[in-house]
Amino acid sequence: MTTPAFEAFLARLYTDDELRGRFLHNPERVASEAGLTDDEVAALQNIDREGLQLASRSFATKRAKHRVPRVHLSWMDHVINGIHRLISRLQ
Amino acid sequence: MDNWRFGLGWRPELSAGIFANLHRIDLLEVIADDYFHAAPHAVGALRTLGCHVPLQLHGVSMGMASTAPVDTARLDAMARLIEAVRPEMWSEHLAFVRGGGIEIGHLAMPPRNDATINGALENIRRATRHIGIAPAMENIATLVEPPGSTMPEAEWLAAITREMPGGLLLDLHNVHTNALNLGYPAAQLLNALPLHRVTNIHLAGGKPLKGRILDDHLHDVPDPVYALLAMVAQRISHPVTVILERDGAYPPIADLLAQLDRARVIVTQATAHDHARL
Repeated sequence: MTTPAFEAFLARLYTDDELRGRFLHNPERVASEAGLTDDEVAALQNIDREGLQLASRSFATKRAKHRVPRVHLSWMDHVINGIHRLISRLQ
Repeated sequence: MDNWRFGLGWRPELSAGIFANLHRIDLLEVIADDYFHAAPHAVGALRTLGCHVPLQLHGVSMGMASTAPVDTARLDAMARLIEAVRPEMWSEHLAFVRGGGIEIGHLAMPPRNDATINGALENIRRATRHIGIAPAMENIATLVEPPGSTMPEAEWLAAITREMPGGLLLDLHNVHTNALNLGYPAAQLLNALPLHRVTNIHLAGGKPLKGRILDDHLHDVPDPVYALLAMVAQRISHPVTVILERDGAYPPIADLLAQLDRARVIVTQATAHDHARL
């Protein structure tokens, strides 16, 4: 067991709130509708529900951070900024 | 502790503090993905940094522990960066990070079974052929027991570690986290691993979350992780590189250096005990 299709379903389960809600209500039906094998559907029946929710929330937080564009400074820029901050604190 | 080295994860926010204390830092580990699309001057600055202190590159987005093949474009990006920066080595994670075109956004533990063991080994070998250098591979933390798992983490990790071409980057906070989150003694995992394959160790901290631990790298290294470091140092006879990771809520650099110094002392004591036995 474990195919790219199963991993794709897990990726959806971790990232799609609506799918996860339906899944937690009826795991067998949602997994079957996704075209997973009987073994894969069975494996999902006893999923750690609280762990799934905690992990999904953690992944969402990480994705939100990635969406914030980060100005790409070199380490030299950061050193200079750090020195400026230090000087302004001393003044 | 002959030739053990102790360094920090390079974060630009820490750069001023790191530069002021290079005499206390043996090496730096750089997040490779931050530079895959960086401007030439930023990569040039990284190369210059490498003239002052040894560098290692650490990838976070390849998704090596998957039944899907690792993306060639990401291997190309890593190869280009290695060519430009000439690090000592590079590393990645035993994680899957996407499936069916959907990005999870972070490192997820795959179902632990024969299929993902084979998929991971195939991807690691492919990356090694493509880049020309075998990566060290890191164990990851998880909040959820991956559905579809047919074996405990110790068995899964040991099976991959025994066969992969590079070394094991053993993240001790991830060992501590998974032991609590998945419900087994941390020593059980260490007992099962071929520790002679450990080339690198990560130290980090996390926070309690509803009876579990979130490996957020925003907190100091907790005591149980230092205890695991002592345990590992007592059991191996070769030098290892230890990196302290911190990804935010940055304390004064002195606090991070104090944690690094504590790790040095622990390894010195552990390996001295070993030498005394010999």
